[in-house]
Amino acid sequence: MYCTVSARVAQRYVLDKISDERLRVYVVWGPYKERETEADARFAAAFVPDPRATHFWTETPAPGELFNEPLKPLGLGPHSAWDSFLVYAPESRWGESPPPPTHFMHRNVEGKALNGVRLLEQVRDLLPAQDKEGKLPHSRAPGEENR
Amino acid sequence: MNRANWGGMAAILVSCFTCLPAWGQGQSTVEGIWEGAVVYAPAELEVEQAVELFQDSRGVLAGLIDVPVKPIEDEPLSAVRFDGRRISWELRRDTGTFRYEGTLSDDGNEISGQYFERGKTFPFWLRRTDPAAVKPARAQPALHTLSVTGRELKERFNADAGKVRLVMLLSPG
Repeated sequence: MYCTVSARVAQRYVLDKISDERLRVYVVWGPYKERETEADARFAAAFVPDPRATHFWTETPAPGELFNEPLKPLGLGPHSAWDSFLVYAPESRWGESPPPPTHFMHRNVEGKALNGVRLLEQVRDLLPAQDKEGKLPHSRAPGEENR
Repeated sequence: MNRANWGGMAAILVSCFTCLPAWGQGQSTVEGIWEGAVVYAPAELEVEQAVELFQDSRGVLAGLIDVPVKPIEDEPLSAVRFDGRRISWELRRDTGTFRYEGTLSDDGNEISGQYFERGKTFPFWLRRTDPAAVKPARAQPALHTLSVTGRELKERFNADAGKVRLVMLLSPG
């Protein structure tokens, strides 16, 4: 459930707030924890309904682990790349292996935990000036009121 | 939220319509549909939920709750109390009792307070939804199969070069 909630945070804090068509999202759902199934992925995908998002299901953790090496210089350490959010600039291209992202967040990497406010800022900063109006979703969480 | 006795509720609402303030103008009742979240960690772990509060057939305040990610749908609330601006209720499940204690805002359109779960306390908030709004059907995005090499993702990623791209690697469990 944690990842589904995280995906929902990305939808609410980023996709709901940035309408720019020059943003694309790829959500890769995979069985890296227990015995997650394709049916689980179909259920979870509904929490990111944005038309700019493409959802993938993989039966093996291998596609996610392609990102392990590109993330190591950025602080991934011994962790798997799974459970992460990777933000890429417009000029990034995938060659032999995935490119390192401009920003990433990961649940188990100190100082890199998912934060919807920061993720919004990171995505917004990479977009040309056209769409910077994104406002935060309504929240009564402590410290959120004045942002 | 779908409730079997919605017709009865509608009748009550119609009969009381003339004595209720207009939508958004300082409502003093808590009846209605509310949407918001329990905030375990701000902007990180916020579990969305919806609560419907209504008078049951005995005229007693009652409620139902949806927590879509669980998924919990239309589960009845217990011990629903509304006194002045203070409101509380409990969700009783096999896994425990989960208590909400909140306060209705001055304009009557927001409930905020504390949620109690297994000895821990987290803030929650709910906003009243427009009763006339029709909830859109839940979209079901297409799910593409990704091969072990990640080829389909790579192709899509490079086809979208020139755009900002966000990749999420997640478990659906």
